[in-house]
Amino acid sequence: MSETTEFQPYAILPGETISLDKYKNDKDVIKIGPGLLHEKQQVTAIKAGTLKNHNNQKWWIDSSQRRYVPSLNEHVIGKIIAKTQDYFRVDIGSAHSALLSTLAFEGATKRNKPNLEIGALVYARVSLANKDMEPELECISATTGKANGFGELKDGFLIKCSLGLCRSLLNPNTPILTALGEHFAFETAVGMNGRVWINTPDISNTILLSNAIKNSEFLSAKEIKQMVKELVKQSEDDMEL
Amino acid sequence: MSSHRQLHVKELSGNILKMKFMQRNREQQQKEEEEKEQKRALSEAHWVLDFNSISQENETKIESESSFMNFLEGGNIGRRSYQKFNNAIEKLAEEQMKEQKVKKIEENEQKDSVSDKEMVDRYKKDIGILPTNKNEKHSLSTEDKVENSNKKQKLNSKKSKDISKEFIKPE
Repeated sequence: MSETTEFQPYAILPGETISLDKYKNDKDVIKIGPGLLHEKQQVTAIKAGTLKNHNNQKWWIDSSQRRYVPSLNEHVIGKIIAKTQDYFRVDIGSAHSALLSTLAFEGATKRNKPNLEIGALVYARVSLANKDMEPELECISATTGKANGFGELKDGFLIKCSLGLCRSLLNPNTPILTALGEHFAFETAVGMNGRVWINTPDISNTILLSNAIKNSEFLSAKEIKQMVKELVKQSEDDMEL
Repeated sequence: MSSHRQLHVKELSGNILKMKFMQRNREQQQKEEEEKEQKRALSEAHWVLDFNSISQENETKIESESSFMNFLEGGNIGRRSYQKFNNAIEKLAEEQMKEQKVKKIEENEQKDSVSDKEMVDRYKKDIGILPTNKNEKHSLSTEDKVENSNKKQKLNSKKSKDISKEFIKPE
């Protein structure tokens, strides 16, 4: 939209109101995301963070927190904490544990159920999120009914980080994962609930990767490249010794 | 009401009033009156919002979403593999990336194209004030503006839809 002034993201505190009049357009619907509240014809911030927008249509506050609040269709990593005939009880880091039906796996039938042990990790999609009900999970894609990467995460290592870092890791061009991918062979699963699962063929690499990812949260792209370079050099030196 | 009935009764003799058809008639009348009264009381009990005055103040629609899923810049790929560690995941990630790119392009295209609502607004401006009443619509379409009648009817159907959304007081 050329007629409106270019918007610059800025820091915002809870309670501040945002005037969207400048960006109003009869043509489209304005979408406000997490951290913003629309009440009495006013849009108010309810979280501290950076106010961002996309095409003057989508507005949200980019904030980082550690408490996960489930929301529909978000991808999460959960840990099985109990199992019954019909469902698994899964810890996804939210206030309440989630339910995962044994039939919500690709190719699962009443006779052929997946056999997951207590403590196993699953990559799943939130299929029901309501503040008054327990969240529910599914390990199949919403559109195709196929696994599409969902299911049990075998082996590997789970690290916990802030929700903000997880969101940046979901970006396909995230600097930390691309930089690490140039030097190591590994596999990751990123959940929006502040959990990252890493799998490498070598334990020492797993430790290195998990430390690198945890440290990358407040580094710029340039600093991340530098850090990865140093880490690679260090691990090569250790190998020689 | 009761006094009215008593007057009626006085005019006829008791023998006639005892006859079955007279009684049936009276009962029916009573019933109808009761029903009318009940309906009136019901419709008075419903309260009605002055809907128009509220909705017109804020014209832009604002939708809120609780999830970050639609607010991730640059895509959303949860599982990835590097240097052929897990080929299946690598292929899947590539597919998802392609899908999301197509989606983004489509979204941008939609933004540039003209929506139905905008078209209606454009017509409104060019043709003039639109009739809101159904009766008016008929009178207008029968007028000499034959060329415009088609367009107008389209617009009218849109308008009448809007009207039907409002709260209608039950009768």
